[in-house]
Amino acid sequence: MAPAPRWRMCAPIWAISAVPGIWLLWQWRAGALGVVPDEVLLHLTGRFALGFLIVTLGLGLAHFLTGWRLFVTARRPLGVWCFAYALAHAAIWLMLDQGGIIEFALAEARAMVHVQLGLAALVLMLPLALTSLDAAPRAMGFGAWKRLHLLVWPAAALALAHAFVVSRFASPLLSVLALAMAGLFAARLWGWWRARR
Amino acid sequence: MRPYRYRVPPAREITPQQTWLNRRALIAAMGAALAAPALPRKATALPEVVPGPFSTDEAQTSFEVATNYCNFFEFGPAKDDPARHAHRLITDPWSVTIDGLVERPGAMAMEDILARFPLEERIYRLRCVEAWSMVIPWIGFPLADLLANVGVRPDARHVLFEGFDDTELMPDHARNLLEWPYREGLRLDEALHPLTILAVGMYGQVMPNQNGAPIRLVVPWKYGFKSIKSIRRISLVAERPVSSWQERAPREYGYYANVNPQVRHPRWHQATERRLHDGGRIRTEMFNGYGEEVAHLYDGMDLSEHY
Repeated sequence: MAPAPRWRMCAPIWAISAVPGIWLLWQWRAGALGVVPDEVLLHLTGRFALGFLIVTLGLGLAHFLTGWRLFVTARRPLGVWCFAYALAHAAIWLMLDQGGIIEFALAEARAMVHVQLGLAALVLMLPLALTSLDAAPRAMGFGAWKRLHLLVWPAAALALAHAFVVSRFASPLLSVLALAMAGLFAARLWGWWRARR
Repeated sequence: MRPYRYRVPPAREITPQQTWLNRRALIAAMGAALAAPALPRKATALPEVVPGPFSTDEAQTSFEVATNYCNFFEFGPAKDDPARHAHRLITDPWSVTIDGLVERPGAMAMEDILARFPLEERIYRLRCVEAWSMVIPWIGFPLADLLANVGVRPDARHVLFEGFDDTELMPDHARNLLEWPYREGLRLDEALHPLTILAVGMYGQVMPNQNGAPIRLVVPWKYGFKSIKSIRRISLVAERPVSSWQERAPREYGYYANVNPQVRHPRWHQATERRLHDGGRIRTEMFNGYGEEVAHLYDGMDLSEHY
């Protein structure tokens, strides 16, 4: 049997990735996000982005352990969705939290470390999102494309630091996330070290 | 054919009339108990309230927002935790212990407090250190009235306030957030300032539990965390006390905690604030806009050092 075309495998991944966003939009329109919905939108889109980030990072290891191609196929759509949720998070901060007032947003970005960390993570993810079409690795060469996409690691570190700065109380979930990310990075380093020998 | 006869149960198996009547009453009471949380609970009705000074005419925050977006860490860190859990707090009976450097120490029952001090409505801005704000119509009386009533001794310099520490009332995830009871303090001249009130209600009603029933502090020129909720104890002291947040993170929370857009906070940008009821962001005013009334209290002090 010939392997299924790529789009047939990607379509369900795209559909599933949209579910949290559609659910959130629906909750918002239904007035189910409490008395200050802007804040819930802000916090949940940030969490969605972190969730997609850790899953995207984990897929490489999952592929290595199981050999299933699906994990590699899923990596790019999930990465793009991670960027989409992060972008929504930043847009909600600007348009709802800061009331769309550019002067206030700039002043806050100048003064607050967590805003700088978050924006830096977003900026690092931008070239990754822009080169996520099939044509990109072909056009720039697969080696260069792979090197460019190593930017996901510093982006992940910045996003994690951002989350740590904004949480006032020690969050067990965040600690688990940090440990998982460190573990995945260690696995990645080990992979490179093994490939060199 | 033998006619059918109903079996007659032995006497010991017959339920006494009293028991089944009780059961009906019990079921009716269960129905009433289910309906009860939907009704506003008014344990103690408030005496007459007259309009007080210093009220703003700005648009007020809705009762719904003010009672569902609360910081009351005894009941958890999430904004809706207090609305979900504060019903566990039993506010009737309640008394406030007043001790330390006072002429007449002792416990004051809520009924006595309500009978003794005339109530006023004060519509104040409330600015939280988390960079959001509300406008709330409080009902209360000047703290100075209570302090005059108990007689402050000349060696007293500060007022220490304590909340409650019954950890069994708190949800599990709230028990270790801070050291309980929650503690706050004011310098004596701040405590005696006519803007400083003890509030027992808001929006024309008895104080809802999640907003600090039955009695809380309101100091409108300071960040909201200074306005301690559900006060159990007021102590007049000579030394400056350490407040709960100051103890937890001294770099972030000072003793004075005056609203000040110039003093930076590592976690929230203090130059602007979100008015929660209209979703707009506005510039934060020095002393939350009460500078004319209170700036003189801090003459000669470096407020970036005494934050």
